[in-house]
Amino acid sequence: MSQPAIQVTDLKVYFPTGKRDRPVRALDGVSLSVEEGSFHAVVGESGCGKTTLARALIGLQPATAGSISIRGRNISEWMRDRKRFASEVQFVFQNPLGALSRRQTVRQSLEEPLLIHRMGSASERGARIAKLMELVGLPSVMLDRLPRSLSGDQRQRVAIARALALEPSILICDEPLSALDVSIQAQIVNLFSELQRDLGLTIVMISHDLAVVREMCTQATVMYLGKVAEIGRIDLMFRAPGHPYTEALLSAVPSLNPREEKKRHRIVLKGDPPSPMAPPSGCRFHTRCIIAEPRCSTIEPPLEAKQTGTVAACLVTS
Amino acid sequence: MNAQAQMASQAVLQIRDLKIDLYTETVCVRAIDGVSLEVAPGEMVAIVGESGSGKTVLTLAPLGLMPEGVSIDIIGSVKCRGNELVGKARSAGTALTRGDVGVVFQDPISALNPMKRIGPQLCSQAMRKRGVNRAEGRQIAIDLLKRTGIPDPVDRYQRYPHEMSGGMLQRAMIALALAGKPRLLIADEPTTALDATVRAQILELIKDIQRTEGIAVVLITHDIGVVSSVADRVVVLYAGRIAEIGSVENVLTAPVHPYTKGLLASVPEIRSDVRGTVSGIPGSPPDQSHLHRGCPFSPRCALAIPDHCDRIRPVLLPIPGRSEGDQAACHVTNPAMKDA
Amino acid sequence: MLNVLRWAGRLPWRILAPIVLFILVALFAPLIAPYKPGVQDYSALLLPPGPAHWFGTDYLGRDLFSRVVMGARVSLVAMSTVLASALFIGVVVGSFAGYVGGRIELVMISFIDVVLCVPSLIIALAFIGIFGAGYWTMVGALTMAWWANYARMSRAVVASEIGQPYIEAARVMGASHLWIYVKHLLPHVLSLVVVYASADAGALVLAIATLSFLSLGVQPPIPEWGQMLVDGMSYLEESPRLVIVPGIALTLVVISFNLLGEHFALKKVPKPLPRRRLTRLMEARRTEEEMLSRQETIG
Repeated sequence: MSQPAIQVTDLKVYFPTGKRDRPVRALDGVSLSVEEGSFHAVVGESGCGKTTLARALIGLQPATAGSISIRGRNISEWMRDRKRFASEVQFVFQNPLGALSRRQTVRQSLEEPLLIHRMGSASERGARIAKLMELVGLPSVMLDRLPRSLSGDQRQRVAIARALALEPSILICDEPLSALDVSIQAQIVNLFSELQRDLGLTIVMISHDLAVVREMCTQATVMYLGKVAEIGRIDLMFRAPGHPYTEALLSAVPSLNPREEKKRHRIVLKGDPPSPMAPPSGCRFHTRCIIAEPRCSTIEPPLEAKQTGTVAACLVTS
Repeated sequence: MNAQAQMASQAVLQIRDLKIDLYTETVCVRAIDGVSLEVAPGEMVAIVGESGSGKTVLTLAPLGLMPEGVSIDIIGSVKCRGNELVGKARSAGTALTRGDVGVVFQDPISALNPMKRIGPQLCSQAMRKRGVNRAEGRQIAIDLLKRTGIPDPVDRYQRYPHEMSGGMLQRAMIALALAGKPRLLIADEPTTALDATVRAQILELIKDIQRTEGIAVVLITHDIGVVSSVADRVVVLYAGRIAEIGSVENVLTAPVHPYTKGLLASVPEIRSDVRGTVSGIPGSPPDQSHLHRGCPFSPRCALAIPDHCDRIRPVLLPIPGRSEGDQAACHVTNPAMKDA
Repeated sequence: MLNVLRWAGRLPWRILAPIVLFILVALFAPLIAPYKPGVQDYSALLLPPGPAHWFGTDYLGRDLFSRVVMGARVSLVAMSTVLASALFIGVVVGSFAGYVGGRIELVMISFIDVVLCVPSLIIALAFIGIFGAGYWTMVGALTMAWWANYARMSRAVVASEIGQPYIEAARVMGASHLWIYVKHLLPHVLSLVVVYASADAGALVLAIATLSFLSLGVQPPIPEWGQMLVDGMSYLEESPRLVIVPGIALTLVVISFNLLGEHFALKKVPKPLPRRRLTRLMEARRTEEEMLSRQETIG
């Protein structure tokens, strides 16, 4: 069994607040592994910690406890040689307008990583930039435009091209589709699938949109309030979820056929997600769970393999 | 009196040949380019469009809810319960002040006053619109909080907006919109800022209000999934014009206009067995600072007939063989166009 | 080239004209002044304006016009020196505080705030009190008084930009702190600070004049407007010219800079279109539409 590209072990990220013993527990013991060449989704709602996880993976967020190892090396070791890390692991931000400097043209934005790493001569850089534009499907006339004269998807394509400039083998993406219109999202979804296939990338995609995740990704990790609820192959998980939260998330996705939608049995959760500062005792989901049993409020469920083929943290499902 | 005339006389919202131009220092944008629409009492009409379609301007501009610094020119007629909102024939007072219309905005945090408690905001709105005194207004506010599913309304009455979660705030926003006993509720992307599991709750609430109080709802959204779960009718907007309109079933399962088809093909269906079949629509929405010749979708349309679709403006016509009210504006796919 | 001309055409010339005049006069002063400003002519004391002396002479027979013109140069040079030093110190200190963040930033902001609380002239006076009066101590004193505001602004810009995704993106790309600062943050800082400083220049010219008026700044015989004001005060009754002329020059320059500052501030306020322009645009749109519908029906 080859080494996973990314291995996260019991990762904890706490943000201090005014109160001493009540920090915000953004990540409270998360463990997962991402295989080489896989397209792994991390899904969940706001407050589950998925963005914190993404930022921790790229080194923008230091861990409070636990470890992250990428290709066998600990992240703290990687951080000592930032440039080498940058050439292996890259990041795509959620909002392309904020992720590109508004004063730089497309060409300048794409050239910057090459300049930082002192790659090649001016003509070699130019050739690389042309190739990147082609890779993301942008015409070369856009090279001299500023981000504000580009459309949303064009900006995101530039951001993706920039992330690929250093030829990384691992790409971490934080909700790259949420800021885009639906008809454009589809184009970027296809772009990601193509890139993953053609370049053999290992991609970790943070998203809240399960339908889109199903189109692109092979594996998924479902998070709830700083902990992992379920991990596994998407085709297995979405057909027969092993955790009641996964089931609720899937149920919340509407069908596009109104007749089916009205007939469909929907699981509507009660109440709002609890605050990460005061997570419920025992299983964090028990306050909103429809199959919760009395023991769920006292015992924290470990991740265990379920019959459905995925791994879930639930005492009730089998 | 035939069915259409009867509906027209009762329509809660009646938009006729509406054109809206937005003027700023640098550019003039035609946000709405000839839209006619009627909303019957008690029905939920979803207006679907992507960015640049004009969906927000369509309902909010006639109500005077546009941002500062933008000068607006509205041509045409928008009547709410028979009262004209636009132009020289405008009735005194606006639909908002009369309480005919309630508006639910996308982001509750920015729509509610952060410095005042929730309850008093509701109370003063009720007092203003219904002409009651403070004690009655307070009772109405508490009733509304209960009606919108906020637990422990008497306690929440005293809370500030920042003490409530996103879902609760949106419910409070809906309560605020209902304070004036409106006959029409305009909800501008009410669930976009909410989590998936909360979204369904809010949509059910709106649907419930529609059914039990008989309030008509105009739901503005870019999310087709939202449309399929609650709407009765759908209006598909593109570049400020109606591309297709009809019952939600017909439009979503048997779309006629190429844009509608492309839009639906861009949204993955999570419950289908097939994967990897989303296709977007190539190109991007047109520049609204110029008037379009012909069909605004033609540059991106695979079915466009050169020198025809880009020259002659397609008229919104009923689709033959479908229920009355199902219409599409397309030279190619609407058989009615060929006979016109 | 055309773009540069277009940009130049949009500048507020009504406000910039006096400032440009000031700068040109100051730069070409030795060429413009007919007499050397120190030249005394006892045969021509307190003469009224005439062909030989356009503004007349002062109590030592010195040509007033030449003195005013050279005074412009002295003001410009002193003001520019102070501005350059204050900007440098302010930007470096403020940027460092904003970038480093945390407790260090807190300590530095507190220090900057304390300096800002003390009126600038008092700081300058204290400095002069320690080091004595004179041109260079004046420059040093005013620099000490002026840097804090630029430090505050630089810190604010850096602190707000540093949270932006594109800065994080640069970190993720492996950029060093220096790279990020120089390439991404410094342009933002400079664009804000330079605009502010250009409007601030007027206040600085006034401060220089004030210190010189108090005989704590530019020392005679170097001509400076504030100094000329205090000089001419004794002759206010017989030759008010000696006070009025430098006074007007000073007032004009300071007001122009202040108006420049106001202009920049007002630019940020969104204004609705003026009525006439709006109706004209609306008519244009209607005719455009009519033409289009006519084209469409013809087919």
